[in-house]
Amino acid sequence: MSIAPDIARQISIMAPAGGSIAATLAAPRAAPFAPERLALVDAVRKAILADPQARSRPEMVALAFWARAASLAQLAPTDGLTRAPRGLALHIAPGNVDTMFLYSALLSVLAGNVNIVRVSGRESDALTLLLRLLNEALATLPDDVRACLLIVRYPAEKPINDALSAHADVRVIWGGDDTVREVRASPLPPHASELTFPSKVSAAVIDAAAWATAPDQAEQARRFALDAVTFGQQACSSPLALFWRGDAASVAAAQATFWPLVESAIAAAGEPFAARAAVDKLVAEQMLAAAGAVHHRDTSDYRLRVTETPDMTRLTRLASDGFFVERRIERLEDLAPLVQRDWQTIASLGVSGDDWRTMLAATRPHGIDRIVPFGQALAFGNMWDGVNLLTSLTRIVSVEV
Amino acid sequence: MSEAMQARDAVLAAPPFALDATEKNRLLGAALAELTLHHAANCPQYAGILAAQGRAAPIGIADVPFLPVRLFKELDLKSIPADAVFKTLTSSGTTGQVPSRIYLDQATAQAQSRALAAITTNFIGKDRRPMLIIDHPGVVRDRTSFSARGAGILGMMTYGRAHIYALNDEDMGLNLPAITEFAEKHAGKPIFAFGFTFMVWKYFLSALERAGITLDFPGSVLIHSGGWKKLEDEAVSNEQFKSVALERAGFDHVHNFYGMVEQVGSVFMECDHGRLHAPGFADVIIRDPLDWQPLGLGQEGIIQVVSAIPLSYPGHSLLTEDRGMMTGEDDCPCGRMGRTFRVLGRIPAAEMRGCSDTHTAQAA
Repeated sequence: MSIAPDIARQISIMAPAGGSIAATLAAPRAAPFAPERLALVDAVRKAILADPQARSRPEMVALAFWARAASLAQLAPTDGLTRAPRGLALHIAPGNVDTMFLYSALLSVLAGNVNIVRVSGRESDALTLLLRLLNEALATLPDDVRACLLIVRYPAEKPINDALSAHADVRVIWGGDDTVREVRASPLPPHASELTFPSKVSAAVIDAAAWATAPDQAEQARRFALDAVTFGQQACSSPLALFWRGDAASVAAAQATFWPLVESAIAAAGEPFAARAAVDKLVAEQMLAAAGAVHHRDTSDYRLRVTETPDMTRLTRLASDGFFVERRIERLEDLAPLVQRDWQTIASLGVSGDDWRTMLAATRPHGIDRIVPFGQALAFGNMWDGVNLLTSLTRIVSVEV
Repeated sequence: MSEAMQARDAVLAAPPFALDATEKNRLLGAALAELTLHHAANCPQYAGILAAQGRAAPIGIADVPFLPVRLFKELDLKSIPADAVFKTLTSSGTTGQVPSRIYLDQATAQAQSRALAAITTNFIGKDRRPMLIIDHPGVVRDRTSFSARGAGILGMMTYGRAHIYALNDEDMGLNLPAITEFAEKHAGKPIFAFGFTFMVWKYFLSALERAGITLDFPGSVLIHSGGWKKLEDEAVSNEQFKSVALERAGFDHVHNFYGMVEQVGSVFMECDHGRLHAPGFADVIIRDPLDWQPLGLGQEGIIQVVSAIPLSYPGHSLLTEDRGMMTGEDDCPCGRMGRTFRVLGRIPAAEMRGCSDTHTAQAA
């Protein structure tokens, strides 16, 4: 197996030092959760924790926490089935600094696959940091182990996607609808499978009565703000809309106490303020107002803007960095007609799991992949966009003798 | 128009650089209030935008609600019936972007040309001079679909005579035979040259330098516009631009102007003291993006432009995509009244941080 030299020349190896496409294509697969694969994930965890810069970033700390042996042990399937790696996994990472793609790449390492990960060509401090830490971590491992995770950069061109896809046993595409369409133009071998993570939108739901009696309102508002402003509200899982369950009076009362607390939490988070985002919010609220009767909530400045849209029917990403639409619903079931296929996460406060299960069973909405408490919207799970990643990155061998 | 717009008529009739701050705030403020009511009554989307803001009717220039220019890319906004559309302007925009669509009726188009005439003649005088158009003839050939550049050139051609185009259609190379003939015919006389900033620099001034050609048009005026972004990328300053224009072509008055297709007639011309001037029927306000409050002299913010001209579409008060700074009011050594300001460049693009389509985006 090899890659044509004119293609290979266009691919830059970002990690490990001295790595190559050829070495990775030749690297041995491993059994799922093999000790050397657990060691690789642990080396990444240690590199993060040893670095002061990484320790100051919540998303890096979350990644290190996830990579603890205790939490990884919980991922190992307990169904007694025999699992084998799929082989070569080609990952197309999103262009952001999101640590998200690294979770899926590390899960694939644990699954025993050999991995080529294409990262964005866009320079960012966080990606530079992540690549440095990966290089440090991989340098501590034997050659044949570190070859199972190759991080590359290359121009988003079809011939290169073609060449790498031809070797793939499984392809994982992050990064939204256009990326999925573009990468899909490169054929996979007949046996290969594919996981896609297209563009998604997310929302939050609060029960107004539960909010009124919540003992920890400030903390809940802080968690909501964290879900929203981390990654500038641009992640698939960042809530863009807030649905209030309750009667008009209790919802109005809840809104009046909730938003000021969110505003303080956003101010306290101290994210840099961008004029571009403020203009985007202005455009978004005016577009909503031009389309129907809405009410712009009074906020002290453009770090947070909220537009109440009684007739909202379609949730789209209009602006970021602290822009929300809100709408009241009488019952949880009233949400169902609004749910689109591309709805991913619901951050939920004061609505019980039983209520959700009843609603899901009764209305069978087209979308919604996960329902999580406030503060967990961006927490990565082995189940993502309705897919069990670990299961999808391995194959099952039926031993029936 | 059914409504009487006395303040608008008055401010449009006033000489372009005569109103002092008090008079202007009274007259232009009243004109903008008339326009706000007019658009609210005739453009349902605009009425919706005002209703959601829930603000009182404007009384001064800075109280007039503003629309971000991008809204004209996202929405079709007009205050006239479809059959009254006389001309549709589109912004050139960045590749791949939806252009703005600006709908003009006869009244707005007329007010625009009068305003442009008042400002231009204030800078180049009433006599029509021989005119050198620093572009290629193809840019105005297709008159059914004007680009902003073509429309700008056609608008300016009125103020010159015996026009020639300095560049060739095929390759934007200098049309030397035409330029030489023009230079011989009008040798030693003041001419009027017009072009877009980047075209003037790259295909005219730089080409003259490379070819070692010097033209001599003493007392001439060069007016140019279109933004500095591309020249900033090449690290060309306004000062450098002016000095090369003087050395190579003898243009001793070089006036850059700031304007945008979304607000027709708002031409903010740079005087010989290097300041951009708001004419009486238009104005600039610099705003703080944090809360959109107006900022004072010398403070950097986002440029808002207002104008009494747009009747046919709700573009009388717009928030631009540019950063700027107020440099004075009624105090420019050139003697023109009104506010002066500087443009400091575009608002920087947002950092992409989401699960977004960056694999494809970066291919560009």
